[in-house]
Amino acid sequence: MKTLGLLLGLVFFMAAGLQGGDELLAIKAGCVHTVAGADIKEAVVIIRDGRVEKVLPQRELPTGATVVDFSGKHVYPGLVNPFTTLGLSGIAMVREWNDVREAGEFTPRMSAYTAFYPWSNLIPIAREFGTTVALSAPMGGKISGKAVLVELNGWSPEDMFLRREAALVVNLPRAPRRRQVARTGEKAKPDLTAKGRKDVREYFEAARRRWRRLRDGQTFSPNPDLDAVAACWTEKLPVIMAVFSVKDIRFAIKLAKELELNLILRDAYSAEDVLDEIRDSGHAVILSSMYAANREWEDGCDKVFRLPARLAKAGIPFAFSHASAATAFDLPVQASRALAYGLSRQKALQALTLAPARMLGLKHHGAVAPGFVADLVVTDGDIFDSGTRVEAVFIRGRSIGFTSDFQREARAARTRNNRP
Amino acid sequence: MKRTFLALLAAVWLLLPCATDLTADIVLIKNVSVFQPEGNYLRDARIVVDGRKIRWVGQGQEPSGLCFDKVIDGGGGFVYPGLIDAFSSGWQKKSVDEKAAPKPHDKEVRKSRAERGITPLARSVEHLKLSQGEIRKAARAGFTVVHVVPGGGTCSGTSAVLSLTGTTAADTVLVADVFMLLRLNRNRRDYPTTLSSVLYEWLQLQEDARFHRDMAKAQFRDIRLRRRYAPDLERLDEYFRAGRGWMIPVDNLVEHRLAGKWMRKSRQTAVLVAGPEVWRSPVKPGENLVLRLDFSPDPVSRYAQLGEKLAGKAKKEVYPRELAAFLLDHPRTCLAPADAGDFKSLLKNLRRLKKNGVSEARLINALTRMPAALLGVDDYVGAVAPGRLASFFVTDKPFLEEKSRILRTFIEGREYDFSVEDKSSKPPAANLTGAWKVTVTSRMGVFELQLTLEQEGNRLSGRFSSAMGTMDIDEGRMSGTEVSLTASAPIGGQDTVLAFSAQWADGRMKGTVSMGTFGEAMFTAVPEGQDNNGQAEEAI
Amino acid sequence: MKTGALIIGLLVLAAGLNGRDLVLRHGTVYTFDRGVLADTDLLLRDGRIFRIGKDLKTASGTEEIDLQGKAVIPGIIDSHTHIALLGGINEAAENVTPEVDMADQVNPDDPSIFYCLTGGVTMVHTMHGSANPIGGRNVTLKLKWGGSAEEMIENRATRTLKMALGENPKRAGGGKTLPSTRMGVTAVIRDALIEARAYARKRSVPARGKVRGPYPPQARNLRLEVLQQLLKGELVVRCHSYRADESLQLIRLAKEFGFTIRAFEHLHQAYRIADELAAAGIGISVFADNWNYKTEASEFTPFGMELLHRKGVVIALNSDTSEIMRRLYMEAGKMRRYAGMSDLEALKTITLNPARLLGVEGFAGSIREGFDADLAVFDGDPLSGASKCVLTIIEGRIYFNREKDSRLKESGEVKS
Repeated sequence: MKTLGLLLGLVFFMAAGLQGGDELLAIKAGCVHTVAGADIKEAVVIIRDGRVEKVLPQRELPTGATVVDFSGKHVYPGLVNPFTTLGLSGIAMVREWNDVREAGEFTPRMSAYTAFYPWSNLIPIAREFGTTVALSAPMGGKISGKAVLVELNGWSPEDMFLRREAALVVNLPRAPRRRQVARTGEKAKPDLTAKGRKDVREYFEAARRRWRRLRDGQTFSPNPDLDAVAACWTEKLPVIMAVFSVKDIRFAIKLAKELELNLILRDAYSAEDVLDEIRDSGHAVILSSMYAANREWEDGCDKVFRLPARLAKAGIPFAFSHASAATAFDLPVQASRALAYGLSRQKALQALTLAPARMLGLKHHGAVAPGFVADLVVTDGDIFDSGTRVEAVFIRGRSIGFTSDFQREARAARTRNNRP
Repeated sequence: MKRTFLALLAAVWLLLPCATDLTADIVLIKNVSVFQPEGNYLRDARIVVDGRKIRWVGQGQEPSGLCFDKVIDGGGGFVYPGLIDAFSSGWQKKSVDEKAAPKPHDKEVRKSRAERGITPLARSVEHLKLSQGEIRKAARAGFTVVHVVPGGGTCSGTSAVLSLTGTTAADTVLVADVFMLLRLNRNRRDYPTTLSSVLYEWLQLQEDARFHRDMAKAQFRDIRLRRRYAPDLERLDEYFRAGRGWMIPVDNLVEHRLAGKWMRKSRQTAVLVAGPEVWRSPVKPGENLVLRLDFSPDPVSRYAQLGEKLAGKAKKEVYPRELAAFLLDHPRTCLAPADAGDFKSLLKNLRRLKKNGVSEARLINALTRMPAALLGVDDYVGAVAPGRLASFFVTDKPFLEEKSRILRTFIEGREYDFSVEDKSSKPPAANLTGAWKVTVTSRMGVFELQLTLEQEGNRLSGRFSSAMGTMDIDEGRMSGTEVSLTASAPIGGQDTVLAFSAQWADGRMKGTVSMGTFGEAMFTAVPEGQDNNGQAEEAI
Repeated sequence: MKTGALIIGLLVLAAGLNGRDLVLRHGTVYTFDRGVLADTDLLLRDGRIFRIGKDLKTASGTEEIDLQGKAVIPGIIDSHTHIALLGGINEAAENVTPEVDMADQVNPDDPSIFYCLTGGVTMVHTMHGSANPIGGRNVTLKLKWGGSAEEMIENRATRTLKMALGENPKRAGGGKTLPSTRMGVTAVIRDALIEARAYARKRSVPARGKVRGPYPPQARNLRLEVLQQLLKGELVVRCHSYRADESLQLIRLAKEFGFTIRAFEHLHQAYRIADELAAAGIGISVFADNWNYKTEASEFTPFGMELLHRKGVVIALNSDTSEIMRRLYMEAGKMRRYAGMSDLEALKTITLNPARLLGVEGFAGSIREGFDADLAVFDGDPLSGASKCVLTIIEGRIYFNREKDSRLKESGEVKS
């Protein structure tokens, strides 16, 4: 039954020969989850020139529009993955195809857009499961470099870049696990977190001093690293800082206040102990995967999963992310784990769409509302349900053909044909 | 001057036969309470020590007709048999760790048994390294006998029982080749690298040893079928056929279970040396066991892994309580200190066990009589009784009471006196670290030595050196301006303790050195490079 | 008293004694023979499911839990993990090490056991690693947290032997020793099986020295005796493999020597040989969609499960890590999307199918009267990430209770 529905939906596309772009497109749906407002049942989404013009609650079809019938299906905004390595990594163990971690502790001049690979086989897979916009970020060392914001559709890199330098990625070191010694029998690793924080602070302060003096007219010999950090103040570039302990979080908030940084906290494993401070600081949180375990027994087995609900209750804006490129398509099911611990579906959906878009400065992504870019995902059920299939994906009003490796391999195996 | 000192040594050498008679002292120790294995004390008792052995123990008057060389007033103290360290990896030369560059390991070729850590022919007696300082430290804690086990691989060799009388093997070894050690040590690169492989290695060794024996009986005309002689398999076969004589250290539940599985499958009996997790394993009440007393949960134990609070609670309450109950249910369990040389924590742990209901008699017996029986030396040690070796120690209060102190320790008649030690000493007046030139003046003449000292707080350490060799300083102490050093030198085959005591003033030291039975001499020490202004003192 | 709320019922259950009756009321019970039963009670007695039905009558004093409509599924079975082991999971020194037995190394103190319980997992098949072409034997455990190793080992399960093909056994050689290619891996396995076939148990030394037959006397070889068990059928093979072609080679070897392969582990390319697997009766123990972490895992489609399911291949989902094991129910839910399975069929991939692979389907892996009372209770759709496991019962005794255990953790105690 479900396959039949998928088949029908695809047939509609092929037959209609949709190009989108400059045409008027009308998508009939059983339920439109606008995110910006309430869900609208039995609606029609009107798309003109790649943007949503309006969402009509009745079945009023404007004349001259190409109609696509997804009755009974759900329409969601395209998902935004605010921290991933799509396009930067391939097979995890193969170093030759991996451009995520550059050598060196402080390399802010590294820009992910110079290494982004648009023809990676993982991008179509992520797209076909509903992710339409992603921030591809480097991850090595303490200051990794600048991440690139991409739309997951296009041939050459320039087609896909929404913003070439979208955020500065900073990672504080993580304390070694207390009980690791028992398993491996090695000596416990030293705790370098304090030194890490100190180094990061000194680096930012040095960069700020240099920027100020350059602004005041002094000249220096070139230093691309420190100059790269200056974008934090010239363009208010978001700084995505991975923080883990309570000390890390407090350090980050204090640093942001003193140096006027546009800070976004990432991971924030211990955030539930400092919710008030995070809320008062006004910073947002990008969560690491819900497919993670608690590090120490004392934290409790559901330490990671109960955090999103608490952030929502405290009024802190947050977003889900999925760093691994190969499984980045699994973002909605990964996020669904938070629903079991008190997070509402509304808030969870927001954390997959509007919240990450806003955090990264995208004003017209993340909702199905007038003026927003027409990035839509059509499913046959609740997007958080692991049994749901994605029927269609629109990026800027163009429908995406489902031609990823996943589809191709399944087709070949069904016919036992090596070259389908 | 050197010649005169050589003459002195020659004289000593000649006089040696007479000197040996001096050690066969008859000593009377009176006014003590002697611990009895049943748990009571023999009050107002006296002990007669004849040379190395105990001649008589009893209350009231000692037998008449004895001429005592020395009479010691025990001062109302308590006498206990010398403690036995039933499992010690120390007292041996450390084997050199190979830090070779890692080669790609060839998985098709198996290295020889010896290279993989199976060395049943190794013997602890052949690798002993004893020093007077270590002996003194053990004596201070009341230990007079140690069971030395070889460290190493899966089958590391045979152990030995030592009585800490001297620094040479000839003096100290009571019994050589007591137990054959099997260790659950995994190799890094060679077979076996998992615990289960160690088990199968042992089982396969049993089969190989049996086959080796069978092949010796067979007579083959074809010379290619005759077996190749393997002495290590032959030795192992002796133990396998006897079915016992094994000792296996186990640290946690998994290892304990594995050892039990081996014993069942191979039909052998082994003495397990277990850690604090033993109370969680099923152990039959009649089983021989040595328990290393340490209340910290093993790092892989659930108690250690599930939070600091739980680990702390286990260490303070759960383990002492459960191990006390374990000791009461398992009467054939001996106790041993946790680590080689860590004696202080042993006393603390014993006291905790006593608080949890184990009787003093049981605890002392677990460190004396029962290990002696286990090691087969209960004719020599393990009790203060006539005929046994004179190895015991005297405390001012019952040993397991708080703040008890060991006043004296006797190891086979040789006395170590700790009663005059002043625990609270004054802070040192100067730092004596560096090189010194020592001039010893005696009846025989003047002799020069070099002295290198390192100072840490009150303690001094270092060595004397001369053209003849070096002597390590066993104990050194500086309290205020008083300096005292002891070193031991084997003069004429016997360990003689040289005790230096001096006063420090204006950068130099001046004092006396006593050379045991050879009398005293004067000495001065100046920092290296300085001129020795003052002439040597006049000889006394 | 039937009106006990969940909390009261749990307080009463604090004793948690075996042998006492326990009744779970008003649950949504997922059975494979009668479908999903709403508002149904389960009476547990002596570690078994005694009765399934509506409004069961019980003796007074029976402990009761009111599930208030929560879903009850069979305890989840994870058929490929490496938890609860101590002392090395890989005998990496030699190529053929079937004598190694993970049952010797069971560590009941591993906190991962408890974490499994929080995800509804009651039984695991914990395995030797994949460094050797022929590895060691594996062991099936029931996760009785707080018990000893003997209590956990499930003796009624089939004994299995781990084999490994592909990159992992090749890697240890470093290009310099055997095996460095897939040819070498197959050759090593074949050599060992030939030796085992030729090995005779009794090669005792003749008294007079006259040797009969072509073979000189041999010491008893415990390693080859284990391989002989394999050839006799007392052990079955669970083989780690990613590429379809190497799996086909092992199937050929199995036919040549007459041993049984029960399942392939991981086998990302299983969808390419669905017909062959179905014909040979071999199952697969796989991830739902975790892939691309190694080169041999880079050709994959989760939608291939649909083909495999249609051909009748037994699909079991596993974790192989201590993280996925807490969310196996979410992975099973994905099978509805990838393989077009219904809810009950998807549930089978984590309960009945792994039970079939382990040989325990006669008493575990489904909810039937007379089966072991291994159950997991979820506070919503048991296949969705939006619900979580709240109660885990093994043989009629509660081993995980979400509400009670969070309180214990704060006080610093350990459960039982």
